[in-house]
Amino acid sequence: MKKIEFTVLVLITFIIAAGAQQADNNSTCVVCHRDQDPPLSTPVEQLKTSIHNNPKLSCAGCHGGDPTAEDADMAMSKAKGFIGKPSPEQIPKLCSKCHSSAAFMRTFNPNVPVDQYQLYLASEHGILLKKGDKKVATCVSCHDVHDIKKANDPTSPVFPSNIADRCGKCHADADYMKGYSIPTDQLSEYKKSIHAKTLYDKGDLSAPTCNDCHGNHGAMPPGIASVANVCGACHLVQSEYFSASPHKEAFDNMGVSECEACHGNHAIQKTSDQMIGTDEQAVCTQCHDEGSQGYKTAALMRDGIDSLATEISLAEAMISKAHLAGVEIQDKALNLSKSKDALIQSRALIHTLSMDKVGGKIKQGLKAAINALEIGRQALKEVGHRRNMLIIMVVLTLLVAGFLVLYIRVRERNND
Amino acid sequence: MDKLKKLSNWFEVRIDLSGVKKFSDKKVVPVHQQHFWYAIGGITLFLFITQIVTGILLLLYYRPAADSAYESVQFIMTSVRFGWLIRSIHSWGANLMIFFLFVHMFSTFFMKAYRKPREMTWISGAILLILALAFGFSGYLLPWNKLAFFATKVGTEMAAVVPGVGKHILIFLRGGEDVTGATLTRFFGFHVALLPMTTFFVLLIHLVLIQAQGMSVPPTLEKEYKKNPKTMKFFPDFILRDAVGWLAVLGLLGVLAALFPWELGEKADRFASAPMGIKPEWYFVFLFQTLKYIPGRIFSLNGEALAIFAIGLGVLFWVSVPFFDRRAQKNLPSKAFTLIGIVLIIYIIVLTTISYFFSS
Amino acid sequence: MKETSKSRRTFLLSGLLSSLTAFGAMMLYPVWRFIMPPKVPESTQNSVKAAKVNELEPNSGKVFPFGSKPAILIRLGNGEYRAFTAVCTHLQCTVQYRKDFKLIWCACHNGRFDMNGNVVSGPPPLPLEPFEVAISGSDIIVSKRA
Repeated sequence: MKKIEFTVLVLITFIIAAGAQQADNNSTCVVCHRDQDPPLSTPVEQLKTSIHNNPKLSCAGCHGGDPTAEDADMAMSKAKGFIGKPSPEQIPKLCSKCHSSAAFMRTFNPNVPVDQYQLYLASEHGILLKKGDKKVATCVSCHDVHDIKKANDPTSPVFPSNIADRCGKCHADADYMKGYSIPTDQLSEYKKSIHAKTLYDKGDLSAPTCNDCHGNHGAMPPGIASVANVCGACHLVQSEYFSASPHKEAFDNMGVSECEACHGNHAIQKTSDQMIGTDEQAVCTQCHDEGSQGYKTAALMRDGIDSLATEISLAEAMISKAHLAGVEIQDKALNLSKSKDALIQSRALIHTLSMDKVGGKIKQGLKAAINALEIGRQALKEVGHRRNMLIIMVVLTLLVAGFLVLYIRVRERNND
Repeated sequence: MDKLKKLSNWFEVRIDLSGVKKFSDKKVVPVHQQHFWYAIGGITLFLFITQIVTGILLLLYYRPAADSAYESVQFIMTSVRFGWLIRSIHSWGANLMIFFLFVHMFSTFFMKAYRKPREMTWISGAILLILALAFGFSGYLLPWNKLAFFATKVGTEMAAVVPGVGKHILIFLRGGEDVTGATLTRFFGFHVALLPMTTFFVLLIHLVLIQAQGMSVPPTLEKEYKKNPKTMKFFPDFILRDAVGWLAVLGLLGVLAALFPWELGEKADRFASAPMGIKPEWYFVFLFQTLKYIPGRIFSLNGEALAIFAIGLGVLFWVSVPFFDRRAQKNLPSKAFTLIGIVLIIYIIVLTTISYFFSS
Repeated sequence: MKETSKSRRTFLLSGLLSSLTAFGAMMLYPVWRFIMPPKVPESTQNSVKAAKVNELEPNSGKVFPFGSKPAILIRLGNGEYRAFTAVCTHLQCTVQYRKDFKLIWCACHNGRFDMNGNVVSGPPPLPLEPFEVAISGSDIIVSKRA
């Protein structure tokens, strides 16, 4: 019995040890390459931290050849299908061998998408590659070659905070992009944007970077008429309002790109109330000339928004004044937040272009703000009430003191 | 009047109050050009009693913990009826009390009231001043607002420069390495238990000594006074006059509390950066300003430590002035000490003014 | 002469005593009012009465003030209560319960949160802070998590 147990134990130990070494032992590629000088040994090094460092995968999966052959020439013989370094046009096809196979990918993760190759073929990159352009991005341009990592690994070049720089590797390189008719300032423009600030400064990984608007595998600039849909992926309300507004049709007919016409694209900035209206910073005057209906509406909207914002800040000032004076205000929170909600909603409603809708919301907000202001005013009255009590107190104190002084005098005069 | 007599008879039968009566009948206060100053001590005492009363009232609602101290003071200020008044009186009263303490101290100093046999009265008074400052320092932190938090941080930091034991004093004061909720709990303990108890005993000694020895007549007026000893009965004449002063102070407190309610400020945040221009309470400002002028190193010694050591020596000197001022002890005019007092007052006023108006 | 001075003295004394009584009453009134606790007997806003037990139907919500900010109490379809801050993490609008979605919804930019406060869709970058709900007698008490 004991002997059997021992044998089992030894066997288990061997299996575990073998498992740990599997990737190495199974392949003569690794055995040879790891002892070479770089760059021949580099793939072995890089593979160690790669998601592809898995016993189910081997070098031959991409490079062909025979990983079991002891002899180098045998292992890397064309007869055995060895292709060496795959050329750009071979790469997407190679990757798709596994990544487009739902049956195979399912064995790693049942949720992993398998449509990357399809998307790539439809992308600007894929289309150009098919036409024979070898400078365009393929899988490895973004994902790297041997040290491929999961997209949610922070050290991966396609992790949200790394993507923009990775796209910029080509798109911001004026020399490389020579011969293509597109600008190369997208990366530097993007880095100035509110999106980049949110992503890099606030560290909010849900903030959009290149691929959130352009797609990743199916990268393609959005068509003019679909911009609102792209932005609307996050800015739901504004996009919904815009798409139902007269601007939608007008912009599409004029060939003006939707959200971008007012907000810009890569260098998009935080919005402000100055954008609406008719003064210098207002975007409306790009199209709406003085005297037109649109011009009038823009001015009206701005007036409404400004008056609500002023009323809110007045109410806030009043309430904080009362607060400092030590007067409690119970309902201030709800009234103030109601009016602030209305301000934010009316800003979004601008995209409907309907003064009725914006004005209605502003009216709601004004009502709440005026309520809050009134509450603050009442609270300050309480401070006035205190002053009245103070007068009573001072009068009484003086009265007592007066009597006291007179009493002392009379007493002492008598004593003398 | 008859009923009053009956009541006093009722007591007299039960306790022998003849001693007290005799004492109060006999006790007189000297009357001369400067006897106005005798009232200041009484006003200070009256303010101290106001502090006890308002302090006890505040204890009904105050909570000494970092997560609720600020909220509880806010609650007192906003939700408790007249809470704003009680808290403002406590805060204003504290400041007025310290102000009158200083006035009282300098008046007795210039009137050389510390001469034999009143050395112990002076020393107990000086201890009371230090206790009052400790009251102020510990009470300042209790609302747990931003300004107080950082002032306490800076204030306790000074303890650390004492060679050898400084670090231990710092940790004792703060209840740890840093100013935290533990410091608040500690300061609360000091403010409502340790300090009141100590003050009670020292104050008792101070008052008993005054009653036993009577008021001192300044040496400049003594000759004239001896020729023509005009006095006033302590009870009720002097007390009644004192009462006018108390009423005035009470009125002042009410006016200050109603017109300038003590602000609460922002809640302390341990991790926020220090606000601009943090200053200690005004009665520490001249010391704070002094330390600003001290160079970091004096003869290869830590300048701040040296300055604090010097201030400590100064305080010690001030407390033991009765023993240094030999001429006053012999009833001779001691202009040197009068000069010291004047210089000190000018120094305090000048440095405080600089700190508030000419310092960034 | 002596008589008038004596009567004057009595007048002054009685004036002094009565004004002193009034003064004392004036001093004691605020003290008395201070001692009697106010209607909200808690100083820290760590918990608040949000609603009565029968106030909310299943699958409905209510916004109530919690300290200086609004909070939302929700009764799920199964009768269970949940409470969160009602301040949207996007632009601080006040959120509401949507019966049709069975979600918390922000009217400003269509942000949606599930019944654990997590973001389902829309611009909010962070989940809503959840509060504890306890039922005490006929009151529903919402308190901050320690």
